[in-house]
This record gives sequence, C-alpha cells and structure tokens, in this order.
Amino acid sequence: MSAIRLESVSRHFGRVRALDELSLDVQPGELLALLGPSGCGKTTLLRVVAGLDQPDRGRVSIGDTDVTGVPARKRPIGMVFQSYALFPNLTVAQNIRFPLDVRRVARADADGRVAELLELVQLTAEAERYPHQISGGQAQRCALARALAPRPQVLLLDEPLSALDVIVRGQLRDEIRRVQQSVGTTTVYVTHDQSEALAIADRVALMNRGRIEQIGTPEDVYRDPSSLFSATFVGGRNALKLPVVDGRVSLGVAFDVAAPAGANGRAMALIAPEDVVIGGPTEGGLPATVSGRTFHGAITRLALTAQIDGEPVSLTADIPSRAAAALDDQAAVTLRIAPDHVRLFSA
Amino acid sequence: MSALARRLSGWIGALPLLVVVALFLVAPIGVLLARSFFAAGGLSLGTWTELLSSPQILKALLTSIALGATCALLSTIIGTPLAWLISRLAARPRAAWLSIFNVAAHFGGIGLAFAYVITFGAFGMVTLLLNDLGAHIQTPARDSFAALVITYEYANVPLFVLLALPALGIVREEWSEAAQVSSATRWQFWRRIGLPLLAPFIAGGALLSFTWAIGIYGIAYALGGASPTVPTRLLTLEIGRAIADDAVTGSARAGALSVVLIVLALIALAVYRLLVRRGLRWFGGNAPADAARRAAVRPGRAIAGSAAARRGPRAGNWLKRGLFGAVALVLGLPLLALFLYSVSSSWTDHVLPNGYTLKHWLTTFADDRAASAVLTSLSLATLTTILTLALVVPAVYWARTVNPRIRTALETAAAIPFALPFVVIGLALLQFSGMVAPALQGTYPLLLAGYVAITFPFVYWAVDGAMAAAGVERLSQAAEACGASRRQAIWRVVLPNIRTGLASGALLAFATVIGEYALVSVLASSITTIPVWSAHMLLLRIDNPGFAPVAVVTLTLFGLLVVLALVVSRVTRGKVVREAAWAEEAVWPAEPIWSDEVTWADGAAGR
Repeated sequence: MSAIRLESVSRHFGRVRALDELSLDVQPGELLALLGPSGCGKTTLLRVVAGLDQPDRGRVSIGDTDVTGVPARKRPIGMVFQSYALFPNLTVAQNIRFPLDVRRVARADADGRVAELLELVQLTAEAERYPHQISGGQAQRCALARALAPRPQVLLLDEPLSALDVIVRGQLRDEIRRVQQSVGTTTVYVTHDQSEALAIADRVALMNRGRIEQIGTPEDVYRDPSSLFSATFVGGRNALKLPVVDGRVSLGVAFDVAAPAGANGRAMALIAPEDVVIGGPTEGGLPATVSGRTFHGAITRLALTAQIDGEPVSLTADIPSRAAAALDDQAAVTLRIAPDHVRLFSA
Repeated sequence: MSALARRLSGWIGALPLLVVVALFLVAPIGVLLARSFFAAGGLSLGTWTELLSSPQILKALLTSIALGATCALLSTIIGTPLAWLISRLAARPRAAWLSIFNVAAHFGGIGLAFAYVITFGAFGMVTLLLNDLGAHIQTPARDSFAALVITYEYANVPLFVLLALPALGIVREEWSEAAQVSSATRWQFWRRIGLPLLAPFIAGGALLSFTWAIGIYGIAYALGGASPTVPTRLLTLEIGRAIADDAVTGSARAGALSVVLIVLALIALAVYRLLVRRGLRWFGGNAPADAARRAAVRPGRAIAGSAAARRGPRAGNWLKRGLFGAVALVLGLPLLALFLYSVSSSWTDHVLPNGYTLKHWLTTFADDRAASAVLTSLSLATLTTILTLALVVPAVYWARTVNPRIRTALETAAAIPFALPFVVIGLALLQFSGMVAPALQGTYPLLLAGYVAITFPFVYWAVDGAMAAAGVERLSQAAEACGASRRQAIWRVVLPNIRTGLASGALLAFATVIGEYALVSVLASSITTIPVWSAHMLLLRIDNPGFAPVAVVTLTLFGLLVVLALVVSRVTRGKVVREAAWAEEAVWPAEPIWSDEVTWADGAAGR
C-alpha cells in the first residue's frame, strides 16, 4: 500500500498545464523530494495532495482512502508553507496548539502534545513569543511543529527553507530530516534546490512541465540521469553537441563511445565536471588550456578550452584546489573522460 | 555658509507649503480655539454656559452624535463584507468596482442631496414607483434624519470600503489555507484568526466614518436648509446659522460650537490612532516590510493561486453576485433618476416621466448663472490642484531626502482638514482674516488659499506614498552618484517615478474642490460655484419639480469625474498607488500590500 497515490492527475490554469496526467506513489515513512524548476507544477502537486486545490481529472488517495474532492480540513495532513503562514495573533505555543483546538482535543492532552513538540523542535524557551518576535529559522520550526501536532499521516513541505539565509538553511535541513525520521511520517518536500533535494530525500522525483521526469534515490538521479532534462538540471553538467561518425561519438582523444541506437547526425554528450580528468601536457589526452577558474574551497572549477577540428570547445572540470594551485593561467594541460562517465542523448 | 543659511537650506523646499499651512490652517484654528475662551479680553465662560443651557443646542449636539453613530454603524455593517469581497476579486473586476466607489465617494454634497430628492422625495422616482404599485408608503421627508442618513451613506459606505481595503490586505490567503490544513472550519478561522486581526482596523474605520458624518454640512443644508423650523438640528447647521445671524454675538456662538466639534474630532483621532497601533502590534509595527519580503519569496504563486483556486464554494458565489447586484442597483438608482429627470418635460405621476425633451441639456449652459458657476468651479478646482501639487511635491521631497522633521510638521497639520468639518475650518478662516486682513474677506484669493489648505493632506499622502513606493531617497542618491544636480534628479528621475501619486493626488484635489460647499458658503458668499448654485436652486423651489438644470449640471459633473478617474487609471497603468489615510508611516501599510489600482479615501466627501 502506498501512503500517497496519484493516478493520472491533471490540473490546468487557463492554458498552463500545471499537472499533466501525472501518476505518483509515495511509500509509507519515506521522504520524497519534488525537485524541479519554478513553474514545473511541483507546488500545484503539493496543493492537490493537501486538498487546497482540486484536480481537473484523476484520483488522489491518502493511505487506502480516496480523498479526491475531499476538502483540506478533512484530510489527515500537516503542511508547512513557504512563508510559514504562522498566525500573527497567536503565540508560538498557541500556533502549535491551533490544530488540536479546532479538533477539540482535551485540554490536558493538548498541553502535553504542545510541550512535547516544543521540545522536539527546540522552541520551549520561545513558547510565549509572537511570530514577529522570533527569527526566520524559529518560525520555520514552529510551522513544522504546528504541522505535526495532530499526528498527520502525511507531512507536506512547500519550499520550507527558501526564505532563509544559507547557514540557517543547512542547519534546518538537517533538523527537518532528524524530526521527520524520529516521527516517521510520510513526507513530501517541494524544492527547486537540487543540493537540498539530494541531501534530504529518500527518493527524489524530478518534475518538468507537469510531469515526473525521473524518480529514484538521490544517487540514481544524480549518477544516472534518464533524460536530457535530468542530466542538465541535476549536477551542472557540461553539455556538448557532437557529430555522430560511423555510429560513434568522440571528443578528440578525450573519449570515444558508441552512439545511442537511432542517433544520426548529432548527439548531446553530458559530462559531470568532476569526471573530467586533467593530466600534464605530456600525458596522453586532448590538449587544452586553462582559461579561467572559480575557487569553491576544497575544489576549484577550471574553465578549459580545447581545439577540435579548428573549433574551440569549452569545458569545466572540478579538481582539488591544491592541484589547481599548481596550474598557472593559460597553462597547457590534457584532458580525458572515462567512456562510462559520458551520457549520450539524441540531440 | 552661515549657520542661518545652513539651517534654512534644510527647510527651504518645504517652506512655501509650511507658510501656507501655518497661515491658512494652523493659525486660524488656534485663534478660533483661543477666542472661544477669551472674548474681549476676559474669560468668556458666559458663551459656554449660555450654549450648554440652550435646549436647542443640546438637541443639535445629540442629533449630530446620533447621526455620526448611525452612519458609522451602517457603513461598517455594509462596508466590511463588501470590502472583503472586493479585496478577493480578480484584478480587473476589482479595479472596476474601485473606480465606481472612488467616484461615488467624491460625488458628494449637494449633488447627492438633489439625487435623494428626485429618487426618494415626494415626487421621487422610487416614491412614484411605490405609488404605481399601489403601496402608499411614505418615504422619509427630505429634511428628516432618515433622509440625511440614506443620502450620506452613498458617500460614506464607499469611503469606508476604500479605507478598509488596505487593512483587509493584511489577512493573507495562506493563513486561511494554514487553518484549512489544520482542520479548521471557515468560521473557526474567522473567529480565531481573521476577525481578531481585522477588528482594530474595522473599529478605526467606523470611528472615522463617525467623525466625518458629524461634520456633514452641505448635504444637510441642501436637504433641510438652515431655517430654524427644520426638524433635524445638527451642530454644523447651527454653526452656519450662527454665522449668518449676527457678526458679533453669532461669531462667538459659532466659535464655541466649533470647539465642541473640534474636541469630538480630537478624541476620535486619538482613539483611532490607538486602535491602529493595537492592530499593528502583531506585526511588530511594520506590516509592509513583511509583505514586500513575501512578494519577493513567492512569485510562482501568481499562477497557482489564480482566482479560480481561491474561490469558495458555489453558494459563496451566489451570495457574492447577489450582494454586488444589490450594490449596483442602489448606486445606479439615483443616477438613473438624474438622467431621466434631465430629459423629462415634467415628471409628477408615474415611475417614468410624463414626457421627454432635450431642452434642458440645450438651455442649461446658456443660462448665465449656471455657466458662470461651472466656470468658477472649474477654475477654482484647476488652480487649487496646480498650486497644491506645486507646493506639496518639493515639500515631500525635502522631507524624504533632507529633513525628516518636515514630515512631523506636515503630518500634524494634515490632521486638521482630515478630521475637522470644513465648516469649522471656514469659520476659523473667516474670523482670522477678519482680524489680520479684512480686505481679503470674501475674495477669490482667500477662497483659493483655503482650498489649498484643506486639500493639501490628501495630495501630500498620495505623493508621499508614491515617493515611498518609488524609493525616492535611493533614487536621488543614485542620480547624484551619477553626477546629476538636485534639479536634474527631481525632473529626470523623481517626477517620472511618482507619476501615479501625482495623478491620483491631482484628482483628489480637483474632486474635493469641485464638490465642496461648506467652505465657499462660509468664506465667500458672493462667489457662486456649482454646489452653491445647486443648493440655491434646490432651496428656491422646494419639492417643485422644476429644477432640471440641476440634474443636467450634476450629471455633467459626474461624467467629468468618471472621465478623470479613467484618465488617472490610464496614467497609473493599473499599477499601485496608495490610499490616503491619516497617519504616520505605519498607520496603514505605506507600501500597498495587494492593491494594484488607485484608491483615494480622503473623507472630504459630502462636507
């Protein structure tokens, strides 16, 4: 049994297809990240699961109950909004208590539950503060606690970290993961940030134009993109359009691989920067020069320029910063790419 | 540069406006207050004891308060749900409704009183319709309390809506959604979140409605006249009567009565500010920053949160349609009556006129008095608009970029026309000019100066809001960093970016002056503007269905306002502007939270 199941769900806004015949199963207890560019339909999908938006066609189930057409307030869900949507006239504790109060949970039970949640998200000291008196990170944790208060079957998070600065974002991402694992609630996490999705999720669903482009573990999605879109959206890969000659695709002597079946004329080759191997000028490989560099701490991303049949070709390569320090600007190098690190798609 | 010159340069841009405001607003009101206590060198408690022991004055006071309370209550009950529905409409219908309300709110005064007479009066369209239907129901007499309330609500409800709209923007759609996913019902959301958040602002709006309603003069005068036999006695009417009565003793009485109104207004303003501060306490005093950040965070929501997604269940739509239909009908009835009246040969028997003719449209403007009234009104309104803009723009620019203390001075002075009845301001100007420059009394320049003084706050708020939205401080710093002189910065950077504020400020000033009755009737009885002429015609022929020219002029005025409103909304290109409301920065959110069309609530209607 899936915890959430969507079957051929469609939702249109005017001419925009936010969801296009989309089907999806979320397993009990897992954290599924919905990753995609803005406008791909990921937030609409979340709102359809929440019941804040109703699909034009298709079915939505939570657990073994069909909830299509059921209003949000009758669904067993908790939700964290992008801007938290904390009620400004209620304190932190009252906000967390709100879902319990409207369900008429007995006072003593509610008190206990609120105390427990405050503990869980480490807001006990801020319990009596109002939303405008706490930091963004605290507001985020309060929203999380409010969503979890009624012990929902499903937790929905809509870009929960996008309004925070980088340092807090990293801490809170780990915090959300810790809380989610300790309560074991099935969770759908919407984000447009691939590093966030890869870091937090059990599985990543990559969305594009109202459809799910690829779904799998973070490693699978990163290492083994199933489409050109997946390959370009995740990982910041080099994309080279190369000719197909006698059923093979090559970049000088850097690599030479068999073209995909059916490819004729040209193919797209996608290569992750960390898979580009740099060698000294005398080693075997495609001669290239270092034309620029961006320092990223432990690694440095080099911009390389090579000549193929008299045409300049640009590539990026990630190498340890210590190694990069030994290379001068305009230094001559060679580069190679292992054939199984080249992903080919028909252009 | 000497110390004095340096000091002066901090104020120079605002100096002309400050001088005008000091001379024609602050000083007259100050002198009025002082004179009501110290007449002829001694403390004149006599005037007060005489006033407070007069049963007529006490009755007028109570009636004024009852009128204010009734109007405020009705406006709140009708206006709150209306404002809520309008705030949740899609952009285009919302803009349409706002334009209608903007014009309705400013189409006040004598025109409204006239519309009441021909709609609900003895020979009014509705009265005749009821007769036709066989229901001989007595509509309220034109000089009754009920007639006054009905008439003034036409201006007061739209004003309340325009005032409440920005406040309603603080209730975010997400809170409602967060409540839904928390399993709360709609009612639970409103009881625990929505209403507690809105209550202070709604109460504040009601209080302003009250303050403005007790200041009504023109409508009451035109409906009942100032004759002592009028059943509905109001403080404002008593003031007008005292001025007309006698130059010396009457003036003292009018002054004392004005003080009563001033005290009422001051109390109302103090409570209003308290309420608004309370309302903003959940937001740490600044809703706008929060709103701006939110807008930056969620651009994608524009698609997902389309109107269709937000709309409630069908039943809600039905209710909505019914309510809007009713409003359109109620607003449309007087207009229809006005139009039919202007093309009727006579209209005494049935719901439709006895016969039709175009002669009123052809002859009205050939009449010397009518034509000269129209010209006088147009020239006054145009000159006031130009002068006020010319004074206000540099002053606000100086306040924002050079000297923030200018702001405090202007905000304080702006409270006077915002809260005080214009008849009180007129009286103060009359007395003050009598003291310092008797030669000016009754002249066109004095009236013009008075109009600049009473319209300045509304223009000031519009321009200030536009400058805040445009970020004028940063813009002029950026211009100077590019090597521009201050003059170049103003002409080439600042002015083009505050077009919206200039346009809506100009419209406000124009609309306020063209419908104003109290100031001109108190200050310059020899100058005939459209309202003066209309009131004269109306009182001359009480309930005699022969004043079709008034219908023609009223409709023309209405059409002019509609056209101007359309022009302004074209200039602003459907973009932002803010709403005027009495306030320091934080009273209403200065940066509009949601509004992408012009709204102008200024409380000048019907006064």
